[in-house]
Amino acid sequence: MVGNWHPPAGSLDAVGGQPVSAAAAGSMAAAAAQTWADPRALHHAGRQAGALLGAARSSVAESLSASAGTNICADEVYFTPSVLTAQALALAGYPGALVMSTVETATLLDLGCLHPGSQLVGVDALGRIDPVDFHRAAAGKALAALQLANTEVGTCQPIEQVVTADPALPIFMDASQGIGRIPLPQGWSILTAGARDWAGPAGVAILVVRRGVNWLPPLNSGSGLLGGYTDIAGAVGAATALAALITNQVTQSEQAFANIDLLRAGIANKIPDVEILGDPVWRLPHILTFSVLYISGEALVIELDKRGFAVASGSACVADEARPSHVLAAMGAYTGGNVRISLPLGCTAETVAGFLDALPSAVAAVREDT
Amino acid sequence: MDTHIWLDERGTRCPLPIIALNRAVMEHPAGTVIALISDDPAAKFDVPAYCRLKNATLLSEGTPPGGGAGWVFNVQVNPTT
Repeated sequence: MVGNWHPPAGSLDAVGGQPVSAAAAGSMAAAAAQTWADPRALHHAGRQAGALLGAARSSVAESLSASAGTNICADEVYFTPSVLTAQALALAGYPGALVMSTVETATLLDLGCLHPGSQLVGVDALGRIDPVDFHRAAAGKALAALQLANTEVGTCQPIEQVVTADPALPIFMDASQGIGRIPLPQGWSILTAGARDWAGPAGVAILVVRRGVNWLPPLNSGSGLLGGYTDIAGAVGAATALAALITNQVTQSEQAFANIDLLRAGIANKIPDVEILGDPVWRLPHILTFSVLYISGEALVIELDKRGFAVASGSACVADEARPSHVLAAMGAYTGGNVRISLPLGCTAETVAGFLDALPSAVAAVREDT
Repeated sequence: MDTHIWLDERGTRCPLPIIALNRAVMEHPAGTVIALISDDPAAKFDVPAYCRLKNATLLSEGTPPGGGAGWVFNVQVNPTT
């Protein structure tokens, strides 16, 4: 009923990870036996590996073309071992100052620090940049980095308005969590995303560089290999998983969007002193973040886990450095008692309803203990 | 003329500073200014957010009297409507 995905009951942390789809796992296993050789080699085994790598690039290009409604070619698609590698390669191809939003992922903000003269553009209470502010800050910059949507609060960014304001400005779009969930916009120069976002393997990410952009390929080892030796079997699995998602994008997204609407209304109704964050409409279909006053995010995550629900939190007590999420902070949101729900592919209505039933008692249990 | 009370929450972490602030806001009449001192990194964001969400106004924020880490937040209790 919900497609090819069967996440465990109670799993509501898709950003954190979701099971690799059965189709992807099967294609990876089959490819692993045929892709051990160097895909650049001229011998038979090498050509076989090269052909499967080429097929994976073509497949991803077709999926992206379908999502963006424009033709993206196989030689614009590269596989890398991680999103961080893809991001680093994307930025390394643009020596010079950058402009980016304050709500980009932490790794991208760190990488941006390596480009002197770079500038950050703040966001409104929903977590969205103002295209006019962004355009002003982009003057004279080598590259603009702007996410498709925020992975913590779900708010979509106005990519197409930024493109329209200055068509000559190269845009690096982090498509994390948005790819396969919402249609891709057009006009960007570079895109990165991780296969785990679409129930593919964890060790594969994509870097897409549109033809004709002035990106200088760093560390180019030729034949479409960038950022190190490619896990070709993983690339095949990633391509299979993406193709399956793009085919079901509309159904999956409509179900998820409706489920998050139910959660937004239900939580506001059932929980006193709660702030529901992010744009209620122009958002990713599957992400919802809220903060509950007077309780610890860590304690709430643990109480929900006891009740069988896996969620994430951007509160300081859950973070590595005892600081709240930079996204919540940039929005001026309440950061305590924070919970992020991200519906995995195939999430059932039962899991969503069960969560709404369990949340009030979990909040009450934490408030009693505090 | 407004009562000025001090609330020293240095050393406590989220959610305790906000719980203490909320208790003080509930217990004191409109116009009272509560000076909350906190060195919780989350307080920098959560005190302004609390004031936006609840019955209080953040008048100013500054460094704690006598120095040291953290902030002092001057929060005024709003009239209940």
